[in-house]
Amino acid sequence: MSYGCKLEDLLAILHDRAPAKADAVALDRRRVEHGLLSVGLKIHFLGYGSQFFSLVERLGGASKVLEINMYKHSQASLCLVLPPVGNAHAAILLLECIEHFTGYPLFGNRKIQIQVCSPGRVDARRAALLAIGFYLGSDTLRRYALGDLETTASKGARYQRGQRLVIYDAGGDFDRGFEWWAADGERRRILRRLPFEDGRCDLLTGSGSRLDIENINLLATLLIHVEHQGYWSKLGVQFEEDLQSLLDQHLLAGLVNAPWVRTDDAESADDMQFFSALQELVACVFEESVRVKKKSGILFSRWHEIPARSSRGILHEMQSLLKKYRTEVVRQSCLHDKGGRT
Amino acid sequence: MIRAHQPGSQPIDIPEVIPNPAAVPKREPAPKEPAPKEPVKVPEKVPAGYRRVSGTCGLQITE
Repeated sequence: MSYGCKLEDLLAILHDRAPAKADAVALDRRRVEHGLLSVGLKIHFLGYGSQFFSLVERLGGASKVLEINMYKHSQASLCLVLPPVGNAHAAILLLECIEHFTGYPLFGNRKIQIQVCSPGRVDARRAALLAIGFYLGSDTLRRYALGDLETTASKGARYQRGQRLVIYDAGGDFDRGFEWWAADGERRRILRRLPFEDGRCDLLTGSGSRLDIENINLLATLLIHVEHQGYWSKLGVQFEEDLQSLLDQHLLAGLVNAPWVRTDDAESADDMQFFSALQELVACVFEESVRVKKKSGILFSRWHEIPARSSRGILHEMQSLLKKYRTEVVRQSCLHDKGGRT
Repeated sequence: MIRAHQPGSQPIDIPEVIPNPAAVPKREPAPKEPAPKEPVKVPEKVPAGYRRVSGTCGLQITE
C-alpha cells in the first residue's frame, strides 16, 4: 500500500480552510502518546466522491493520489490513503481538517468507511479479540451483510484477504519512524523506530467515529505489544484474559476460534465461518440493547420498555474494560513522566 | 433497514445501525465562564445611639 500523498503536502492544502487544526496535526505528527501505536487511516467513499475531487486535484490528481493503489472497498468510488500519524488525537484532527476542507462529514457517515491501520500484525486469536473489542466498544452497533466487508483485496490469487473486519496489510509503504516502548525487564526502553520492518493490522470500522479510532488504537497497542514483547505486553496479557473471561461469562468464548482474519493458514479461508461468528456477536448485543417494546394489555396508548437482559450486560462491561485499561496506560505513562520509573 | 416477517404477521423493521446504549459520548471540555462573585456579606454597623427594644422587630432610637 502506497500513501496517496505526503502529509506535509496534504496539511499545506488543508491549512487553507482549517489552519489551527492543520497546524496542530503538523506539530503532533510524530508524537507518540503514552507509548500507544501510530495510527494510519484509509477513507473509502461509497458514493460518487465529488466532494473529494477538489482535494484530489490539488494533491496532484487521481492518477497520483488514488490510482497508485488498487485497494479500496468493493463499493467505493475512491479510497484516500493517508500517511500515519503518531497518535489517535492527531488522526482525528486530520479527519476533521478534511471535513472542513470538503464540507462533508466523515464521522458517522454511511457513505464513508473509515479503515484504521495499526503497525504490526497479531495472530488469529488476537485479531479476533481486536475485532470483538472494537465491535463491543463502539458507540454504534452495526448489522453487517458479508458484502459490506468486501474489498478489492478480498479475492484473487495475490492477496486473498477475504471479507473480514480485520485484514492484514498487502505490503507497500511502511513508516517506521514512530517511537516504540520496548520492555527491558520491568523497565521501559524507548526505541526511536518501530521494531518491525513491515506488517499492519487494519480494521474496517464501517461508518466510524472518533471513539472507534481511540478504542482501536488502545486495543491494537495492547495486543501488538503482547505479540512483539513490548512494554505494554504485561497489561496486554491481562487485557486478553479479561476480555476472554467477559466473553466466557456471556457464553461467547467460542467466537475467538472463528477466522476473524485471513492468514496464510488455509483453514482461515472460510468467510462464512467468520461471518457466522460475527452474526452471533451482533445478535447478542442487539438482543441486549434493543428493548422489547410491548403494548400494555390495559393501556393501549402506553409502551413499556423491558430490558432484554437483567444483568449489567456485556456492553457496559466492555466499556468498563476499555476505561480500566485506558486509565492504567495513562497512569503508568504519567509515572514515567514524573520520573518514577523509566 | 432489514425487514423481517413471517407469513401472515406484521413485518418488523430491524435497524442496521443503533447507538450503543453503554457508550457515553465523549465531550470536549468547554471553556468555563468564571462564576459570578457572590456579594460579600458585611454586618451592618449599628450607630452608637441605637438599641434593640425587646418585643419589637426593629430598632428604636433612644436619647
